[in-house]
Amino acid sequence: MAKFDLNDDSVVVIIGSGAGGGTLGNELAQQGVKVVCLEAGKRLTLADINNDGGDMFMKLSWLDPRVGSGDLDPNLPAWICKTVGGTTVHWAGASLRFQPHEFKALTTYGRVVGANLDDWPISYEDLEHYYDLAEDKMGVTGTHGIERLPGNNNYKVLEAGAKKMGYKDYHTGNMAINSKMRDGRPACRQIGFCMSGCAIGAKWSTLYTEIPKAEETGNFELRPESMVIRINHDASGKATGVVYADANGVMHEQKARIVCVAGNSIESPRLLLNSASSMFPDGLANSSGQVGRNYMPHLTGAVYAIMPGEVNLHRGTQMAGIIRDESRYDDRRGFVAGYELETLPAFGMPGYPAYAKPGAWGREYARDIEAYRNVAGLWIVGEDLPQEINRVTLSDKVKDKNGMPVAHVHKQDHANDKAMREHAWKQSTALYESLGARKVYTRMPFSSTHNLGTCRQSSTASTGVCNGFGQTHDVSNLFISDGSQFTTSAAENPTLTIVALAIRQAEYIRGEMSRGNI
Amino acid sequence: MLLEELELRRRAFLKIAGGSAFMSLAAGTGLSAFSANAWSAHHLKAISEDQGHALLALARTLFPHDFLADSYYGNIVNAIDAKADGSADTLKLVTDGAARLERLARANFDGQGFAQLPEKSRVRILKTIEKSPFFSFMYGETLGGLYGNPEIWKIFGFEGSSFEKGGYLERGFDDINWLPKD
Repeated sequence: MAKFDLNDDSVVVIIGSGAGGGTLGNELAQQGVKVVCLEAGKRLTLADINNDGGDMFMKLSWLDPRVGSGDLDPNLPAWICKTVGGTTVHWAGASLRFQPHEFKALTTYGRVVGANLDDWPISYEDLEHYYDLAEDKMGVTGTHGIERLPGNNNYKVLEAGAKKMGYKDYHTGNMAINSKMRDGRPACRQIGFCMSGCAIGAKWSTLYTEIPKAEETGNFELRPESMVIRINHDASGKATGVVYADANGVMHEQKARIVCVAGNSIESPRLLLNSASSMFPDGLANSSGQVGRNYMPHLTGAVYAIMPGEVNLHRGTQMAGIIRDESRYDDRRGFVAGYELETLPAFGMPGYPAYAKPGAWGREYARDIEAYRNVAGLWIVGEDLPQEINRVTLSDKVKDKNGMPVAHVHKQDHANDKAMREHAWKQSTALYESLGARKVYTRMPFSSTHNLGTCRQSSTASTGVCNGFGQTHDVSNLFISDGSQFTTSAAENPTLTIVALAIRQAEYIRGEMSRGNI
Repeated sequence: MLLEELELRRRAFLKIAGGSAFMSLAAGTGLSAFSANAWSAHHLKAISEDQGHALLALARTLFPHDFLADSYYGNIVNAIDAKADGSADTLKLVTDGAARLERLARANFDGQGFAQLPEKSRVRILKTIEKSPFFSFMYGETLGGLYGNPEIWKIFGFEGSSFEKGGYLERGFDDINWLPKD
């Protein structure tokens, strides 16, 4: 395995090892580029993964302090990961392509008051080939001749309801979970607990795919428990390296030819903002003032329904089930953009009483808890609109153990978000009632798992942070390599698009390096 | 990491709902020594027997499952007692809260104690203290202690860890039998 010197300024430094950073690292390493990947979390193995939701939450989650405001939980505004593999250890596996019109949100939806809409600088056609590569890499079911997963009970309820509702586009999803053995990883055993990590590795995660493959090339060094504090630059405004704290809190500087930021949409802007200097007083790559802004955690919500018979929704692949009809663009519904309905990871028995109706108690609620076996559920995920007021800033009060100001995350719903959620709740309630549901609980978002848009792509330097390759407008050897670069959130789960963008970015970086441009 | 910090973060996991529920999964461990049947307040260390009975009545009022023996709720009281034994703040929260329950009960229901009241009266009292830190604490402890208990999972139908059994592929992941045939 490779080991690079701290003063080796020929390496590409990647910050983060998840869907963006892990993929980019492997792609570059395969092409002969030397990579140092700095990951804040520890490196686990499959043996560390179990089916205890609380235990895995503690092992995987980003638990350093954060401040949430607006509609967010003040203590846990987002539920994302601090571990090698990042949020690909915890994700549910849903791998959907964005729809062509979603890359042209401003053109398609028009100006919406209060929203900071823009078109992506790239089109669906620009990304199509990379979607192909990403799906093949991840083994996405329902693509490239890969069989879909069988539907579990919760899916079958969703499917029967979809038929009653007249929906046409429903199936067990496009999942980066093996339906057959593939790429040295086994087929799904319908274990459940996908979001606690897949104990057998049937679900794609950079932890046991991209990262070991990158290490085999001899071009890739992973440094776990390495928390990057700031990015340094020279007098010409080029990035020169990064300062990070190791497991013991000791600071090091790793020199770099190129720096790629992939710390998820809260940590990435936090790092750029914390890298402010006399040359970049508002933070690195922030001449537009857009770093940290347009934070989009997706429009989400959940529905729990008590059905006439047993469902046992903890059995089987959690999110292998989707209805896509409502993801179309159709503003006659009273809102722009669309949403998907997906089978709910219900978080088991401690989860259902805690989440169906937070804070509820008494005899009626106890009776609904007793009906646990009969509960079905779905998760709503839709396009939320970028708003400048929704943003990540540096807390002026709270610092982490390294003395770095923590992220303050603010999010409040746009009227369009509220209208979409109401519509989704209504449709979902009707769906379950069409099958005789005794009661339906609709609920507000969980702590957000999709975090997007805080360093967005834009065609001009004044309206966003980076170009269509994720290269920042202000610093040519600094790249955004995660979901932060999303111009808009689209209705679909983001991971596949993050991976496709990372593959495309790797090709671009390799090309620009050999052309001597960076 | 301090134990208190760990505990806070465990609670955060169950707080991802964004609701007011502070729960402790930790309370779900070590409960299997007690199964169905009666519960005794004799062995309580930090709180009195009367306080123990009041807390048990409170827990049962929050989530009344008539088929569950007192021991399931008593285990939660035991866990609270252990916490109160190790923390003066918790002890004060719990004893002040239990005293308040008693005061409200005796003042409004002919001098009867909280634990002796019918459920309807207990609900009326709890509604008046729903916003208090004591109620939030008891809510979290009860939710976590009851539904985080693997014995309770069996009764309610949550089947727990499955990977060591090979998942549900051959164990009913798609065995639903009541849906319309169309």
